[in-house]
Amino acid sequence: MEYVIETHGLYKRYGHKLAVNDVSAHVTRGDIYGLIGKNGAGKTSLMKLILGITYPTDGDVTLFGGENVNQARRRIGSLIEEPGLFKACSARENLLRFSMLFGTDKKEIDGILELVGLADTGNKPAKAFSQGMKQRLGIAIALLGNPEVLVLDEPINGLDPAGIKEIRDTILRLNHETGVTFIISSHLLDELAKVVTSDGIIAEGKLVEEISAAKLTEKCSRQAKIAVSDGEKAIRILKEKYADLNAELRGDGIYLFNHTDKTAEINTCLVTAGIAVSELTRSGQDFEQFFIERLGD
Amino acid sequence: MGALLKYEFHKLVRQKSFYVCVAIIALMALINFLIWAYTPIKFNLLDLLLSGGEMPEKTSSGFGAMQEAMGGLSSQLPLMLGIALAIYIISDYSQSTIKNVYARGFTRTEVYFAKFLVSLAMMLTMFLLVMLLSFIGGTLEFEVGKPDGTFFKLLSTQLLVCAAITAIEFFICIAVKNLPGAIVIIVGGTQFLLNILQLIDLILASKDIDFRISKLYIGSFLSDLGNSAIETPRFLFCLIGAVVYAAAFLTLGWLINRKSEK
Repeated sequence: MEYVIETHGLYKRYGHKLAVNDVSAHVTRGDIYGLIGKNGAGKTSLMKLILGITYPTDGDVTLFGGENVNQARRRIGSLIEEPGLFKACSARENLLRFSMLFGTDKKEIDGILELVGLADTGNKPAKAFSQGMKQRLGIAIALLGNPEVLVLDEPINGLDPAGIKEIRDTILRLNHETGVTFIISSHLLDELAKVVTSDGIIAEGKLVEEISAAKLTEKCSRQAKIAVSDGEKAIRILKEKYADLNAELRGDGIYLFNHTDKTAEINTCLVTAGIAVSELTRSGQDFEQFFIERLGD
Repeated sequence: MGALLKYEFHKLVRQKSFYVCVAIIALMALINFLIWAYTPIKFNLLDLLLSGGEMPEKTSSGFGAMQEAMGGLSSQLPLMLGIALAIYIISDYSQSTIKNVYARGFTRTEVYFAKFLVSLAMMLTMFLLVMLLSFIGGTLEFEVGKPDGTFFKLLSTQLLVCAAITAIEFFICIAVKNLPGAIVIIVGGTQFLLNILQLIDLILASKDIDFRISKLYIGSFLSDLGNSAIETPRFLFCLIGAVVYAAAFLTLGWLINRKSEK
């Protein structure tokens, strides 16, 4: 497995506070790696260490399999905390300035402005931009130079629902079409869950768990809820079909804890037995519960 | 490093405050020239003593005006340069644009020296402008004249002292990373330091100690080097002193910047 980013026993101490505590994270090429944690959990600190914005107290970072980290960082775009913008300059001038560092031509700048929806801002200075526009400009700067990896810290902060969708679509498009690897931090589970291919759960500076989206779905879909016209009869029929059935009848329906991957088959079975099925879902609450348990109080 | 220099120079060229500072220093250079041109003799005790009690005539020419320009602008040039430097350097830290640079793998040492080179270019622009205006003024008012034997030696040492002043002010900006704070230190701090040094000199003089601590102050180097009658030991002291100041503050700033985090 090719890791584009690996951290090995990374520590970062600010005074008495251990912001990053023995973190060994692994990001595979082509991944959309969601870094999930509460505010102050250490997500930004970890990202800053990866990018060399701050120095680790201990441990190290390996990029692209071990090439010189400073050279490797030329291939990584980032947006960390508040976007770093030349506030008196227009969106285009901001991109023009940074393009001198990242080796981008004017045509690419036009394309990026179009992509993030800032092509029509003219000479309006960045200081007059809304929070969402500033965020888009920050993402535009991160996109300069066709980076292979994008590290985005809370990229949807300050965006309206339409803006959130645009950014999400952009992330998915870049990932699918050009294979860009992403590390995205957020405390918004729902939004992150829509794009990530793997998750790193961070709490109090520690990386509690790394899990692929597929495995997470597998873990979280072990609970299914079936709302039926006759609960007791439904359980009896299902037990006849699946001898090892682990089910529980609750006020709002039947909860299954195994055979949850056979929802279509279960539905057919119940309907054939004359039981009306008004709802058959894999419980989403379990997904949230999974994170809440790991994120701590 | 090339890309970084291009980026830094582009920022400088687009920085309006730099042009404002350059315009102010140009105005100061003109006023300084007029004061120099319409002052009939130099009120310089050293020259008076060297001439055996007679007030010597100043070198009224374009080259003479150039040579003495820095003497008259010994406090104004560092002041305006300091303000321009502070705005240029600190804007990257106050707007957090510096993190975009670090995050793309440019080392702190590369960033530091690229910024210092641009700072030197700022100083050179101001220095050359002052020289040019003084030369034009001197030539128009008097004559072109001829550079005397000390002309190039004094001018190049003045330039070296200006580079050392740049290193000191650059160090202050890098260490403080806060615009109001840096300007207060550059403007107020230097004046306060000068007052303290003068006070110490007075105490030393009252105790009949033949040593003046204010002669160690880099601002005094510039005014002394603006005097063509400067004695060789003092000239050498200014030369070596400028090199020591520049090296010390450049190194200190580099050490601080190496550890800086954003």
